[in-house]
Amino acid sequence: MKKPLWKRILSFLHSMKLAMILLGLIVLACLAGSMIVQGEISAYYESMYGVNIACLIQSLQLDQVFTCWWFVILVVTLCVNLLLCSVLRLGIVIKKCGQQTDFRCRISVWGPWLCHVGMLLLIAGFALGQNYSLESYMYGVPGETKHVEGTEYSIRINDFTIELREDDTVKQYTADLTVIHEVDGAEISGIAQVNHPMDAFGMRVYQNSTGWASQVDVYRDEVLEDSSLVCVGEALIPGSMPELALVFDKFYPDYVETEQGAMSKSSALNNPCAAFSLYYGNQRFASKVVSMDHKVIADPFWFVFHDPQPYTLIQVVYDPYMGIAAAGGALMLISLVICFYVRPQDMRKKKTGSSDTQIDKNEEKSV
Amino acid sequence: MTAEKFALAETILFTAAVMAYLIATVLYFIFFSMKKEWAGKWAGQVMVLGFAVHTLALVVRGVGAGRLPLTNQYEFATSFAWGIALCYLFFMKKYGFRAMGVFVAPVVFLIIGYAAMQSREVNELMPALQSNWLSIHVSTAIISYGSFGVAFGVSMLYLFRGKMAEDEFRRKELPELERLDLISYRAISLGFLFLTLVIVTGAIWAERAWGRYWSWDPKETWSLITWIIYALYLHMRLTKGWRGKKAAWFAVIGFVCVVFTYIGVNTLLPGLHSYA
Repeated sequence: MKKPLWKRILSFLHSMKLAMILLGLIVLACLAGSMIVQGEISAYYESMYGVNIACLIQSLQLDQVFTCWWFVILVVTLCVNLLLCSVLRLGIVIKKCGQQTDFRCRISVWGPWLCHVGMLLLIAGFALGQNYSLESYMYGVPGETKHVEGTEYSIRINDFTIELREDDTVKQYTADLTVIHEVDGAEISGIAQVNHPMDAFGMRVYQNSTGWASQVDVYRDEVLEDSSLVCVGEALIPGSMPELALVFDKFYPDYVETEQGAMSKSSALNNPCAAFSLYYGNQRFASKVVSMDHKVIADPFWFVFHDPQPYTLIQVVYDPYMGIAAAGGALMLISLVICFYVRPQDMRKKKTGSSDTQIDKNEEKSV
Repeated sequence: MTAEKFALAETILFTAAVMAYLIATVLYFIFFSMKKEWAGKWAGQVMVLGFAVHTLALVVRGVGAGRLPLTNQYEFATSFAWGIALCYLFFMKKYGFRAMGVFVAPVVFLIIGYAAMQSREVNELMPALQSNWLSIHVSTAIISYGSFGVAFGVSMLYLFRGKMAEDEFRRKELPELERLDLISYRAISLGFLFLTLVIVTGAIWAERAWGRYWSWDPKETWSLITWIIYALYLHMRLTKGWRGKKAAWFAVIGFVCVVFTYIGVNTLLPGLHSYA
């Protein structure tokens, strides 16, 4: 007699066949996601592949493979398959375990089941983290206090140092920080370095990156109108003339003019210079390299760069689900050791007097 | 000893290792194609010698640099070749047949040859690479890739053995197909366990260095592809009874993925692993 439809669907949903198909499709998706640069704008794909292929890439969402709906469906279906498989096999595994008399035999029957559960935990922890964790970035210089977006916390940058070696390469970036709870004023101070994040209030604070910033004074008709800290890549727009913009293009701490153009001899502040561009109504009308305290005149304005200093880019992550993913990864590792190397005791005893190949086959079956 | 002396010693030892692996490859070719047993005996000895000299080259590099030599293209390529040679010697000692080297020695030679084309300059480490997790991550990768390299060599032997005429040489030097299949499975099991460890330790390091344990970087994505390929192999083998040619081809495809994950991703795809 033919099985009812729901039973056939259930049977397919926890089948090995479906798992193999899904893993194969995930491999194909990963291939596309690694070969096609992800998250670029339409113009990029059109210039790289032509209009027709760019259109195909975007309509199939191959430009955002790992977050698109069909990839999520593939992974969710794989999780359903793993979950059903684990639930339905639990009884069988417990029964098999109960039938074993030897401790190692009992352990060994759990290997594949634990591996699947570990994988489920890993995917679940990662998915929860992707959707419900917090990630925020802020930059600043020593003395500044910045609010952490989406939280009740702010971070004060007490100090920021760049440790250099003799050959001028960077040994370590160190940010001395204080995380402040804005409501009750509680504070936690600590050091964040590359590879050594700081933990505070359940959040993890990373020394992510660095760059140069300079104080820029804006004068209008010889009267100081504004003074702001501007980072490289940022624009300063005078409040009284929003059509005008000064863009801080590049910073040279030890400026020197060479045949290849402007460059910095070292990272020491021996001859600090700023490269800038001036825009009026999105039209660039000037571009130059100036030394500190030099007046940049764009009548009726003056701009003066001074007091350059490195800024730090701080990354704040709050991911309470990371522990689930970590537990999943650890469980998978343990289960693989069980799968491949915890052999049933009785099979080991059989080694005497039988061929190695025969025993190996038995061991393989236990996996 | 000065840095220059360390560099000179390393160059001599590294070149000797390259030459030894080349000679072993040629001897294995003579052994397998002309069925000369003496060539097989010598090839095995030269492989051991090459491995010993290669180990010394890595030790000298490590002492000279003041750290484990695992952090740039050259260092990982030479360590990758060393890992395959180590796993080859381990499996050869365990299963005792020298023909395993027929396809493993050329792989070792090609990878160390790739290392020879990279810059051998000893650079100071950037802050992100100053991590013990990195050392564990790359060390486990060497064992994993080494095991997959052996599985590849044994699987190639499996595919060739089936085509060879039954004679004295085949009976004496090449194990039965069933045994070759099993050795390949064993090597893949070891490689798969270590590949999982590579991914887990890499994720821990990435979390500490970049604030994200998984960011779909091409290297991460390709290591996942490789992991899934071998996971499919293990599932198909254990549940569908895949053996023989199908399994051998899977082992070959898996190793192609391993090589692409290491060399292809670094040279063709941009990402966070551009230094390694």
